[in-house]
Amino acid sequence: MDVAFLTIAELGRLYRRRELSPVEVTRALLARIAAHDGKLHSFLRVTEEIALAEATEAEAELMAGNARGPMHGIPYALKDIIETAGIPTTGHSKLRQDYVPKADAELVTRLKAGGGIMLGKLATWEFALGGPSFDLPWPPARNPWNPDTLPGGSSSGAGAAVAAGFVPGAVGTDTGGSIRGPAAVCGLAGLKPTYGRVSRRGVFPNTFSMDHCGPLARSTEDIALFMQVIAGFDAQDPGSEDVAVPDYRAELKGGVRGLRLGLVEDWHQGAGAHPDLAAAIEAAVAVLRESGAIVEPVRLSSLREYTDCKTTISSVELYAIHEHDLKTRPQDFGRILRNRVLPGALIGGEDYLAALRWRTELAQEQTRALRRVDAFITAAALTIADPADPDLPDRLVSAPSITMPFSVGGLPALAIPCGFSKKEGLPLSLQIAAAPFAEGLVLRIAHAYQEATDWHRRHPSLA
Amino acid sequence: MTSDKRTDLTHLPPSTPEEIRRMVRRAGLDLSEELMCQFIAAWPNYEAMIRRLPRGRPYADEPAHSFRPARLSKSGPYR
Repeated sequence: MDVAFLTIAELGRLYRRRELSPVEVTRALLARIAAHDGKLHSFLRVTEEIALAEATEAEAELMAGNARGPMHGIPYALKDIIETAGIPTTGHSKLRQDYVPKADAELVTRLKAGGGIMLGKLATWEFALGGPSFDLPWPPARNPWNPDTLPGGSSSGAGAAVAAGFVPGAVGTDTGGSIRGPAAVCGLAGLKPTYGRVSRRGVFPNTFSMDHCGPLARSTEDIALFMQVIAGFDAQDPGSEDVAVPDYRAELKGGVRGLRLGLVEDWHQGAGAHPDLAAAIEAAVAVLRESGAIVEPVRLSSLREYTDCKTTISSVELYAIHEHDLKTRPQDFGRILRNRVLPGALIGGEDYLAALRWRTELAQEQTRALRRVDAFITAAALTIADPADPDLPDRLVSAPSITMPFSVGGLPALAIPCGFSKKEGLPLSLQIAAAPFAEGLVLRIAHAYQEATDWHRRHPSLA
Repeated sequence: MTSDKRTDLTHLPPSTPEEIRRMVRRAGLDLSEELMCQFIAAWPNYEAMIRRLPRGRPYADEPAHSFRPARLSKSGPYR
C-alpha cells in the first residue's frame, strides 16, 4: 500500500483495523523524504531516530488497544520556529543556527501526549517573515506541484512537505497568512485558528498580538483531528483564551443548508488577482449554493487598508524582537528579513497606536457583518505559486494581502483548494472565516464543500 | 466600511535618502553602506504605509490604552 497520500483519518482507520502500522508508515515516509526532499528542501532536519522510537511506542500501544486520540501513531513535522527539547530550532536563520531549546513548545507537548510521531523540523521563511530568501544557511523550500516555483510562506516547508506526501500533517504559524498562503499555493487545507485558541508558548514570536499556530493537512477532516490535540488554554501564554474546545470532528457534520455566507467579492476581483481566480471562487460558491447555503455579497474595508494596519503593527513588534541583533550583527540577517524588520525602528509610537486603534475599528466591522452572515468566503490567495526567482521584488507592503484581514480580526480562517489555474496547472484556494472560536463552523462549511468536490484529493507527482 | 472622516499624512513629501540615513543613525543603528542602500530602497513603501494610517480617532477607541490586570493574575510568566 502506498501510504504517501493517506490522510490522518484514513491512517487512523487502518490502524484501528490493524491493516497498517505506525512503524510501517514512518519507515515509508522517511524513505520518501530521503528519495525526494533533495529537490524540495522542505525539511531542515529529519529526526529519524526519534520518529522510529515514537512509532514503535505508538505501535505497541495501539496493538494493546490503548489509543490516545486522533493523532496517535500519526507522523507530523514542525515549522522550525517551534521549539523542540534537545533538537535545534533555527528559525531558518544564521542568527539561531546553533540554538537547541531545553523544553518543548506547549503544542509539541500536546502532540507527544497524543502519541504523534515527529519526523522533523521544516523550512520556514527566516523567523517566519523574511522570505523567500536565497541568502540563508539553507535554501528556500520548493513547491511539489512545480519545483521551479515556491510553496508560499512563511510555513513554506510545511506546505511543501504535506503536499509532497512526506507527512500527512504539519504545524505552521500564521501572523498575516503564513499557514493559509502555503496551504493555498500547495493545494492543501490550512487553518489559522482564532487568536488565543492554540498556545504559542515556546514558538519564536513574529508579532505578539497577531501570532497564531495551526495545522496544514490534506483535508478539512484532518484539520479537525489535528486541532483536537493542539487546541486549548495555556495559562503560560498571555494571549491564550480559556474557551472550551469542542469535538471538532463531530462539528464537521451538519452541512451548510440554511447557512448565510458573505462573499467578499471586492477582495478577489481586484487588480493583481490571477485571471482564473474569480471563476474558481464563483464555481465554489455554486457548489455551496447547491448544498443549500445562502450566499450574499458583503463589503468590508479594502485589502490595502487591512494590509497597512497589520503591517504597521507587525513592523513595530518585529523590531522590538530583533532590535538587539539588528544593532549588533545586522549582516547576519537575510536581506529580506532585515529590510522588513528595520522599518520598525523608524515607525513612531503614535503610528503604532494609530494602527492599534484602527485594528479595533476593522475588527468591529467584521463583527458587525457577522451579525448578518454566519461566515465570510473569499479567496485564500490572489495569485498562484511564485517562481523561485531570487530577484523577485519584495511585495510584503506593496501588494495587498487577502489573508491579513482575518489576522487583523483574529478570526478563525481556513484555506482549502478550489481548483487549478488553466495554463500553469497550479492550485487555487478558497478561504472561509467565521466568528471568534467558531472553528467548528468554518470546518463544517469546508467539509461540506470537500464532500461535494475532489480538489483536495489531487496530488503532485514527484517522479 | 470604516469611517471616511479621517485624516492621514499622505500629503507629506517622501523622505530623501539623506533624511533616511539620519533617521537610521538616530535609531542607534550602524549599517554598512551596502545595507544602508538596501534599506533606503526598502523604506519608501513603509513610509507611504504609515502615512496612510487614519489619525485622529477618538481616545476611547482602544486597545492601546487598555490594561487587564485580572488577565495577568490568570497567566503565569511567559517563558
